[in-house]
Amino acid sequence: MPEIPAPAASRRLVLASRLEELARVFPWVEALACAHALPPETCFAINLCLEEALSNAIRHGYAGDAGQTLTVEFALNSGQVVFVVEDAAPPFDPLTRAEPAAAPTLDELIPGGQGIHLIR
Amino acid sequence: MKITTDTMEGGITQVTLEGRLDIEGAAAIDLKMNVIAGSASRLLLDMRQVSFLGSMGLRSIVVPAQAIKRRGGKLVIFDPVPMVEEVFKAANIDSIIPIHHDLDAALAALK
Repeated sequence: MPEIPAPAASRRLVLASRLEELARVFPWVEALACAHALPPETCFAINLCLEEALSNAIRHGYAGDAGQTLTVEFALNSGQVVFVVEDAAPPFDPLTRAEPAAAPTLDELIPGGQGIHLIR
Repeated sequence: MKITTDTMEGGITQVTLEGRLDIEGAAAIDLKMNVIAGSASRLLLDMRQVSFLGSMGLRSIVVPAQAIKRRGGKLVIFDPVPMVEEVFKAANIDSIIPIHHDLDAALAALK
């Protein structure tokens, strides 16, 4: 029986700048993972980085403006998986922020400030 | 994301999470987690069936954990899968909320 090729997973995802749109990212990454045999750990890391980058762009970059768009593009270059996130929000480089010090105790931890650790 | 609660021996509350703790998942459990944290003094958070954890998901665990601690209680994270545990470690949460893979050790940590 001839093999039926899987439908080509789109290499470009366009999202409206609303947090609810992020639910579309995971199935898109899963489709690409299937099409390109990406291992589960790679998928996990991709989903983690994209969730951080996209939610930061929506919440902070666009300051909650729901009328903007974000684009995620996927490329596979000589075995390297590359995702490019494009937005029109003001520039922000998380690597220039001082590394938040690890909280010594649970009481001193500021909830929600851990995203930059995860992207790094 | 599904959240269920059970009472174990010794007054320990077992909270079982199932699914992806992404932004949507975190929003789905936030209210219930905070309600549970308002009354439970010893909480075993069963993470065995959680397949993903992002920073909003972390927050939905850390905030209730802080509330329990302020009231003199304890929360233990039980048996996360390796990639989920990596997220706790990357955020240095593992040094302030105990993670145990062995149930006896988890229960002992809650005494």
